[in-house]
Amino acid sequence: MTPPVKASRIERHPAPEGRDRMVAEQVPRDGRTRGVRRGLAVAGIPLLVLVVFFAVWEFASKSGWQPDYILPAPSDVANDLWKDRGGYWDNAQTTLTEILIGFPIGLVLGLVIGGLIGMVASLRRTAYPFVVASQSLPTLALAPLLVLWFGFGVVPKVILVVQVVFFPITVATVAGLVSVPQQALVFGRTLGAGWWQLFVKIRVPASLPHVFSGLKIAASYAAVAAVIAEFAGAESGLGALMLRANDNLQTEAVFGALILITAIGVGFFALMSLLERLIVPWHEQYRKDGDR
Amino acid sequence: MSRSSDRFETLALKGVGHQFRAGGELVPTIAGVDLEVGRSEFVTVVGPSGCGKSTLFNLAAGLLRPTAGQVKVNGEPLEGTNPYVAYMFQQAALLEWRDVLGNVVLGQEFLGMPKGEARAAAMEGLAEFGLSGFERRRAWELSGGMRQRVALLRTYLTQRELLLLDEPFGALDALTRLQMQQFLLDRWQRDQRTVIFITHDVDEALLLGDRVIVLAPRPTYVLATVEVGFERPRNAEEVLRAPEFTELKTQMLEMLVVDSESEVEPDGSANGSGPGRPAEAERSARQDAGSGE
Repeated sequence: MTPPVKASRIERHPAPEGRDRMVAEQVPRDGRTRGVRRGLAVAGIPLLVLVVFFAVWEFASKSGWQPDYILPAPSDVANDLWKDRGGYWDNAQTTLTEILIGFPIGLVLGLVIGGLIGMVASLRRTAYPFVVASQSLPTLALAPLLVLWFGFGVVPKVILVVQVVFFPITVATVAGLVSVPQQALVFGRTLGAGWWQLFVKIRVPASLPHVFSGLKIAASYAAVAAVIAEFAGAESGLGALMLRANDNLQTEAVFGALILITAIGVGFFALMSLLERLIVPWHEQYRKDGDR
Repeated sequence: MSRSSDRFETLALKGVGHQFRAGGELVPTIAGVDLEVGRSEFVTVVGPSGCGKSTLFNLAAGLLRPTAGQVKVNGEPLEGTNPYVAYMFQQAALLEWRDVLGNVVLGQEFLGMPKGEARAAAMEGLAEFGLSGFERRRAWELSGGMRQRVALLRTYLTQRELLLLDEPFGALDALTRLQMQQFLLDRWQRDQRTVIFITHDVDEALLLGDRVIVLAPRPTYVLATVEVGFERPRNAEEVLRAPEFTELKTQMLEMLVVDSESEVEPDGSANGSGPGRPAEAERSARQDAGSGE
């Protein structure tokens, strides 16, 4: 069984001179200084693309390639936004109100339904399919029906916002609760930890990163849903403004409303990202530095 | 909870069998295990991967009920969870939203210990485990060995007398593992709490245990019991060098390979026959990790 052995030996080598000093000089711990420059590089390219894009657009419009009512120049759109800022603001307020009412309702609904489905295995089989089905309802087609039932006011818009917000949050909450580290739960259970203790100390924090990814998706949907609901019939709101402007061939106002809607969506998304950084700072960090 | 005594004396598995239902089919995991572990014993458990080692732990902890036989603690049948048990796993299972100190006090929190008291004990423990200065670090900033030390400390700080260590060093590199083994030997020496230690590594089983329980493949039973006579306190290097160690190891490997009807050679393909797989140990480690509940 013993393998044939040629003369084996170990030869030890001395460390090169100055090694001790080398070890003391450490690599910078965090890459923040590098990060700023890298951040500029990352932000710089999209910015450049944007500038070129608007320049080409401006040129195409001003050169008479297309008439103003087809393609207004960015400068005209900006001008209109400024000139009629009072009107834009009134309409934006309506849309924002719809989102600000609908989003929290959708959030709470998503957390509660997701929480129940995530915690109760039998619900995952019975109730989850219905939740998924609710999302397969074509939102666009639902809007006129809601207007028919609830009128031209805020209610149908809020309902639609709730409908698009609650789903990603439900799914994310379920995913979060299901992915809780089982071994931490076992550790707790053997020490006699109760259901509530495990829920608060392990399940909730473990699922928060998932919930936030759902929140970010929901935030970007909310503005879209409000505008679509307004298309189906509204007295005010950015969607209503867009429709009216379109009918009157005030195309620069259509673009103006579009820009504001986009800004609201991006703003909500940014707000959620900020909250994510504040509330679950370990998550991003963990993914960046983690080697697992 | 059994309230027979405040002090852990014995854990006894008497003819314990277990099977679970998977899609209408009964899957037997444990055919029958008789095992008794007394206070201050250090027992290691080896067996092929997926043989039901972790199930055995869950039975001992009272998280699972045996479908045959009995689990007795201090001579009385175990009802509910075993009040003497604290767990530790292969993956440190550290909470990423807590720093090292927060992770270390988790067990004490579950036990309802006052915050100040828990903290004081934790700071002392951190010093003892060589983790001073790392209180505010997060798990992902630590090396694998340090993470396992945090998890071990967390388990130790529960003051539970029966420690169930489920392949705690299984995911570590060889050198770190050796350091941790020596660390555990030294730490055990101080208060000699009862340890049951699962591993798939025969070296580790012999180095650490007073007694090695060798398990058969699933559905499992106790294939052999090895009394390990190395004097304590043990020094890892000395033990690993001892001729008796090599002798015991050879016998155990033969037993595990032949009697478990595994087609895997223990040391790759020593004689060129049979499908030797040197990567087996690593792979089985990962499989165990997957099946660990």
